[in-house]
Amino acid sequence: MNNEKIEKLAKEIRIRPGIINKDRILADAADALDRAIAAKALVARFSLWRKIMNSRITKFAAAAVVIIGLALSVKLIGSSVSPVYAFEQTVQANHTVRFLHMKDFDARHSDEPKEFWVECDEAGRVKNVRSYFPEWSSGGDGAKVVVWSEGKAQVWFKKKNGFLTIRDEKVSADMLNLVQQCDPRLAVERLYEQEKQNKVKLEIDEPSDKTKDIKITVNSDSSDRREILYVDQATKLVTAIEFYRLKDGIYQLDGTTEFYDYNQQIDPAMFNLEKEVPSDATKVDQTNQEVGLVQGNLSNDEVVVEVAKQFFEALIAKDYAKAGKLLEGMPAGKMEEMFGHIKFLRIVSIGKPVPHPNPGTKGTLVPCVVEIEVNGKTAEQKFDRLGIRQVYNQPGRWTIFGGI
Amino acid sequence: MSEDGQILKRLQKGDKDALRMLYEKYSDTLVGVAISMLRDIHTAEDCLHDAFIDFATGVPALRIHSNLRSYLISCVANRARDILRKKARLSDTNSEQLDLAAKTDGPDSTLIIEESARKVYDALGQLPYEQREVFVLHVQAEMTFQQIAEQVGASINTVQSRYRYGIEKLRSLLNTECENEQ
Repeated sequence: MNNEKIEKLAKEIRIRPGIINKDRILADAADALDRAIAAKALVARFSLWRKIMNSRITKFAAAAVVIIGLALSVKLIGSSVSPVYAFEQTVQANHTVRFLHMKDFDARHSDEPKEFWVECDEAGRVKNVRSYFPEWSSGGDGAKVVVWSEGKAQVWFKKKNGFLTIRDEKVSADMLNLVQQCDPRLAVERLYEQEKQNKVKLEIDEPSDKTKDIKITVNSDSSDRREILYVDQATKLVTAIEFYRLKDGIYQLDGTTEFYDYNQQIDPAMFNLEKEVPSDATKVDQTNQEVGLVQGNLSNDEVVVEVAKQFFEALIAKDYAKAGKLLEGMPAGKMEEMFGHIKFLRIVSIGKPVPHPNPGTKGTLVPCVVEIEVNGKTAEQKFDRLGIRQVYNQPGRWTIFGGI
Repeated sequence: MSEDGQILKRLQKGDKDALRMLYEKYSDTLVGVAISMLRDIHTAEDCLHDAFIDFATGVPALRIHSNLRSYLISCVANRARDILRKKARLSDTNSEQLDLAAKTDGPDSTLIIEESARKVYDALGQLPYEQREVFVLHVQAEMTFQQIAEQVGASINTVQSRYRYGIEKLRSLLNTECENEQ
């Protein structure tokens, strides 16, 4: 028998179907797949298996900062003018909006808008806000819902099944501004005022067909933007605003904001996510615990190094409560679920802090090398994307954020 | 995008059907590799089970152009090596207790091919593990010597030598058996 024949016969070694229990294999592999995908979403670059991931930043609390901030960008021409109008006192005094429901459509993602629900009290102060951000607007976090009430913000990361609670007093001022910007009646008043000041020019198209909306086109000499308001002829309320930007000599649609159920009562349950979030969601509450490490007398560079050091020391000691405190308040149980299968042996080195490549995070990277054991094999694992920054709305306390 | 690339994309979204598709596509090769290396059907099944879990765990890290077949075979080979390291002695299993289903060219050659494949299987069991591993990965898994060298952590020259010694021994064993039968 020659080599070729031997090889040919060897390729014919087969097992008859049904001998191997493939259902057991597939069921357990499917569970492992679910865990791996969930771990990646929450842990980002903490995966330490043989094929080490190079995953994206999770931006848990950081996302909350960004989205709450971005929630409030309104494209009205008036917003480019100083928000302090002489008009402002009158606006507040006459503020009649109690409930506002609006959808914000981006021209590039017109099938899935951002959505906002706002409730104000009798004095016109913003009381509750609920915002929905679709996946395209969420920078990799997946679709999310943000509810703000009484100085606390709840963020539900739907795709990652994560639920974060943080303090945020400043949202109230931002939200009030949003309401004033978007209050349909106030928008019209503001525009008429601006026209008097020759800041804008209004073109009004009032159809004879009373079922069709009045169309008010707003142009500004000092801006490349235009907006068109659609006003219901019966109620005189703005039903929609279209925003245009001048590009290549043509005004192109940037987005549309539509208003619904003006001053219709909003179900109070809309402003509390506790009962809405799935029971198996990973819950992190930064309002009822001390998150991160206190800076004390340490410099910024010193404290970020200390955070990294204490974090890995905690993992070496399997102190998941402490490690979780340094990872934005992640619960100890969740930390054990994510890291319990890895044996952290020792810190090999902690490098010099460097500015985070994304300045918007206001973070610092601290490169580390840690010796770990996985499947009986030891290896030195590099963490060159470990991001550390101050806890959102808790200055002087520092935490690891996102991935490594 | 290749079929494997599409499967991977689906896997990375948590699609369990894609996992089943992948299993159906490569299980023959993977089982053949596992049983040839480990010589015991139950151990081979455990090896395949653990290898698939290793694979599933690594899915999020795989790139769209990853060679899934090679990666799966690597998972199986690694697990097989781990299993054997734990065992002090590899006990060989009589091939008659295995349910072999060899390919056939037609009714007249069914028995001969089946018998011959069984003979090769038996002879493989008499090779030292290192030679058997290289032979199986090269012939059944169709890996190049370079890939095998990276897999087993040896130089390419060492791998080629193991293969050469292995196939020479197989030829010797099989030809001796044929002479005895005559």
